[in-house]
Amino acid sequence: MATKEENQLSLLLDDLTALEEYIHDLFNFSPLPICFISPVGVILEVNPALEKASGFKMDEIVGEPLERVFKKEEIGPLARETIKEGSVDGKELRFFPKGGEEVAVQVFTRTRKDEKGEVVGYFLSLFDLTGIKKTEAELKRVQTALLNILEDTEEARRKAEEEKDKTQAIITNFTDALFFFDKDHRLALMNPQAEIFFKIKKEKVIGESINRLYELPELRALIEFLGEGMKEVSRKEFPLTEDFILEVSVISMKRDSVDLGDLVVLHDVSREKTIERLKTEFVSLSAHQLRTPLSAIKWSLMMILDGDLGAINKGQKDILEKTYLSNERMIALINDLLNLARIEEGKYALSLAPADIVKICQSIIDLSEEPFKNKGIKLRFNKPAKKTIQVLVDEEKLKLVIQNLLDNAFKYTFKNGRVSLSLKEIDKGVRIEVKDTGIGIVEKEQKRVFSKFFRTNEAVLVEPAGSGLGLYMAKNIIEGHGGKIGFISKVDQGTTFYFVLPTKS
Amino acid sequence: MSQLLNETEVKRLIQLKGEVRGVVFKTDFEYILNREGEDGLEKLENKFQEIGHPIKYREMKALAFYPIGLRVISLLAIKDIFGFSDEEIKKIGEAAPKLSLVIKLFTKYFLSITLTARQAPSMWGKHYRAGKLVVVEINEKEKRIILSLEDFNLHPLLCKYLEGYFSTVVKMAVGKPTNSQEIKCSFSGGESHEYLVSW
Repeated sequence: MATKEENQLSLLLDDLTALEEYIHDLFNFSPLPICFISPVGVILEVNPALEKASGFKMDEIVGEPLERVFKKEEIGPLARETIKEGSVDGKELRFFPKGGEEVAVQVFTRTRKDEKGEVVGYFLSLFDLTGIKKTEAELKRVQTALLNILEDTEEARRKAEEEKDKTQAIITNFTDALFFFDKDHRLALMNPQAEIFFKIKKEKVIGESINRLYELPELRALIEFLGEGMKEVSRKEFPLTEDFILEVSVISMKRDSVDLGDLVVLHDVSREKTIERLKTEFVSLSAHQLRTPLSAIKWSLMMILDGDLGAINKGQKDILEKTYLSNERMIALINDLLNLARIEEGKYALSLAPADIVKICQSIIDLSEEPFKNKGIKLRFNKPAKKTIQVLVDEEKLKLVIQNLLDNAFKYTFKNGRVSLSLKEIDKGVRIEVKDTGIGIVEKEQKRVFSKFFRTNEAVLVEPAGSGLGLYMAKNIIEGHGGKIGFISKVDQGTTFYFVLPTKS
Repeated sequence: MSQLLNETEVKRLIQLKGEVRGVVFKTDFEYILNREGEDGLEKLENKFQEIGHPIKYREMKALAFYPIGLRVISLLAIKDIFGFSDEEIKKIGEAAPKLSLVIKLFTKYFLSITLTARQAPSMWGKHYRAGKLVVVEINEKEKRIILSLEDFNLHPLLCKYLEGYFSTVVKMAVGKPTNSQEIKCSFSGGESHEYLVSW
């Protein structure tokens, strides 16, 4: 039978066992890696979480120095600090698990003391910072990326600002007046030059609709000129006052097919117009002054050649005939210049009257047949099916055009060549063509053919005499009739000039 | 019944005087469970059943005292069942202090080898009610300690076990690799068992 002491011992043993199991369970339960370290730095106990974190089994790691899993230079100061201070909270160290790469951990320590208060070792626990470090690194990466984006955005903004400033500077200092109407036809922008041209402050008009702008006397003429629909125009003359002439261009602005609005550019051409007028006046005056003596010379030469002033010998006659022809060319040039001056002064009025275009063409053909025949060029008149076609024209000037086209064909077509004048009735009009098999016009010079005083290099070589005004006048005359003139040409193959006139309705 | 644990030997061992704390069975249990798994443990417990002294390692209390003969039987059974060499028995001894609850109670003395050595006889007494552990020499300069175990003649297998055991205890005190050797043995004509542990 057990004694009382044995029973007490048995009870104490049970209590101790229960306590041991409790401590064991608590230690093993902790998800935090924990170990107990002797004062000399030997690992004396580890929990399963530390086994897992370190990769060492308990019997591999217990009894080992702490340097087995930490750097000596890092763990030494930590141990000293722990023993000195009693604890260390959250120091970041590098932890080296078995056969793995280093792991950043946060280390917590707390000393254990005996009954006399002497330090007998310390507990050490780890907190794996891998996840936090990864998140930190990711955050840093994201931060860097965001900073880069921000930098790029800032750079783009700065560039855009610079571009905007440049554009603003260009708009502000532009010598042309600029108006920009948004897609709702509200005035969105105007530059200082526009303020000067129209004597109006932009604060008064920006944001206003086109109808509201029409009510303002300063802008009424312009709005009227532009029209409500604001169609695209290019360099159209707009006399704001008698001596202040602007050239207006309306450009429809689009981005990716999206309508942004309309830009109106007004260029001051007053000075050019004045110079042009003065030049025309000078040409007109000079031509008038030259024509009188040239006419006197012509009549004098005619009288001598006709023998009215006595007989002349053959040699004298030849020289005088050449002089007469030269004088005739001079008179023709003067006439051309006068016509040009009239055109540019707007005084080249057309006297329109009903006429039969077939008859007009026939009369010119009749006059031209002989010189063509003499040069060995075959001239043909391709008549229309109808015998007569009525047109409303200035007959004299129209004859000038047809004669001019035939003269050019004559000049620039060599012997044995062919020239034809064709007349064809088309829808609401008549088309007249002068076709030759002459030298043709080189492509790069074709766009200047209707410019005044222009002659192609080949034309000058073939026929040195010529004013370069014939086609310019022809264009003005045809367009004055509401018609259109054009040509098709190939070098060494020939040229076809054509024009279209509306028939009399 | 095997050669190592024949009926006579078991009877002799059971009759040995002295007791041992359950913690030694707990450390054997942890080692075998870790090395051989539940199957190994079952085989071991079946062996005890077979020899007529059934024990359940899990149910044994670390701080309770058990017949000292069972301590030897546990090691012999392990050697018998798993065919462990003496060196492997030494390894069980090496692992034991790391797993031992009693050693945990003594960790506060692992401040220095001198302090640990001073506590060694007490440490022994906490484990065994048989034999006597004496520190013959401690030389920190030459890094060695000689321990003498007197009146402890249970079985030669325990000599290898204790070689490993003392090796680890010293290692835990000095924090360096150690080497342990039984330099005198009662079973080989010595007055006591003497262990030289150096580091």
